[in-house]
Amino acid sequence: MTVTAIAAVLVFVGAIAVRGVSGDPAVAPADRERAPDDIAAPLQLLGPAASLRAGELAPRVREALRQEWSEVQRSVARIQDCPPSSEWLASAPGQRCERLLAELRSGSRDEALAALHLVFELARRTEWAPGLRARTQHADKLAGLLHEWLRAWGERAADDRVLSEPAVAATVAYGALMRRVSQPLPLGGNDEALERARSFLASQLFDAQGQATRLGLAVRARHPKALEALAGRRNVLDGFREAFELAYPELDGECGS
Amino acid sequence: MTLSDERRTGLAARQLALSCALIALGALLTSVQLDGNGDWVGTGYASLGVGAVAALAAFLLALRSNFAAPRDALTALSTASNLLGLAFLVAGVLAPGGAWMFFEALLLVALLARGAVRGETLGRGAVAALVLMLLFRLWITYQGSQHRWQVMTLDVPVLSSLPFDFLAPIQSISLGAFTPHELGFPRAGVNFAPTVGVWTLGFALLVLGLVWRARAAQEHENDRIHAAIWELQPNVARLVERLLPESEWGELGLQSLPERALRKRIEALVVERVAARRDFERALRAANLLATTNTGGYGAEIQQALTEGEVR
Repeated sequence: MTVTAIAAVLVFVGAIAVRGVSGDPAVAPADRERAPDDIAAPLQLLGPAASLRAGELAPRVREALRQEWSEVQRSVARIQDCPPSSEWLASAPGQRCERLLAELRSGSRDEALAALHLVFELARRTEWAPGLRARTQHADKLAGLLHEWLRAWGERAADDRVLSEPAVAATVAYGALMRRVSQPLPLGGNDEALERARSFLASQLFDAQGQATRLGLAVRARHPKALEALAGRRNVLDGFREAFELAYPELDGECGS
Repeated sequence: MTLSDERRTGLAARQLALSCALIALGALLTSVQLDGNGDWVGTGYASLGVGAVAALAAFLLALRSNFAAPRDALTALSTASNLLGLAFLVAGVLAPGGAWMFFEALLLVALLARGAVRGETLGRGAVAALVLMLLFRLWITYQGSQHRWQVMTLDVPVLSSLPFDFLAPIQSISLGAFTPHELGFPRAGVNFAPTVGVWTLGFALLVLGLVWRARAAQEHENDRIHAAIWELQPNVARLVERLLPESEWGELGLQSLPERALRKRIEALVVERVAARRDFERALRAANLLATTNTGGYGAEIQQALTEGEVR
């Protein structure tokens, strides 16, 4: 009895003391100490001047794919006249690019970054805006590439020093592209595409209890409205569209023309 | 005292200590939350302060009706556990900030005070109110964990069904807006599922512990009265317990009396009850019970003559 009474007193003291414990702010994976071989500022490899740093990725791609990577990267960087995305991907160099993307996705994190670099470069140099004729197949094709990347890397990348920010960019880009696919014109829309995008994004960004996953938390930290809209009932992808337009104004689906 | 009496006394004391430990554990569980970094952090002192005020108000009101002064370390712990348990319980269900916290606190003070005046630690009304407030707190914590900073959003009929973006600001109405600061969220955000589990478990332990403590304290008090009676000769003690049955000790005001006052009260009650019984027996013996069956009329005089004759 004495032991129980003393234990009760100690637990009371602990209960009062623990109330004053305040936690540390959340530390983004990108803010953690960088390893010597980590690639610096990985988000630049998805930005408008990404081609300037593309050469840094070559030594990080495995030996067997290095030659292929260099050639495909060059061919993507030299795309001219803004061809429609799915048409270019259906061409010989496009098919080669798609095969390489599949290889890179299943490789290391640096190779995953290289794959994402290629997808963003494609989005920058090909046409995928639906236009007045609501040709959504091109945006759908590009969104498909991002979908596969996110499926392979989304959750893993969210806690990675190098890939966390690119994963957020990929998620936002996917949401924005699918917004174009599901509602290419102000009125009407494609409910199937909307539901496809919503269920995929929900699976990536929310857990079974409806709480944000690590990727969801990373997206929320940068683009809170995107996640809020996704959890709502209307205009669920509008938050992604707004965030994408703000972060990548040059990615307008018309090669920035 | 028999061996079984001694065992019973020890059991009540052990139950009292265990119930205090249960309250302390509940207090600890309602004081922590899991943050986004995976660390356990505190829920802050603001709500505990308000809870302490509510508990103190109930405690002070109870002083006039049924306050039991601590007599030893165990009863002191029991009294402190009751006060602290109520403070942590109220703090655990209060919305952690904003005007509604004070409305909730006011309601709880009224309910706890009413219970205290009646001699109850937690009445049914108070428990029901506490459960509803806990649910409200869990709901706004859930909303906050989803980064929705309002209690609920209502769609405006007709307007909400129109597919025009420029109507978005008037398509729905937000009710009960709050901020992360008001919720007392950790800086890294709250990990909802484990936090809610811990809070709910803590709440259950606190309620269970407080109810158990009240019963164990009563049992412990009864043991003290029992021990005082059994200081008499065993035969006399048995008679006294027949005169003053345990079920009436609370009503007779024996519980919570100081030692000397307790013995004086027992003495006075025994004298009073024995005198009352003797008076009753005397009256019973003197009473002409057969006369009460006299229904009057033709046979009345005859029956009276016969019964009087019998008495004589």
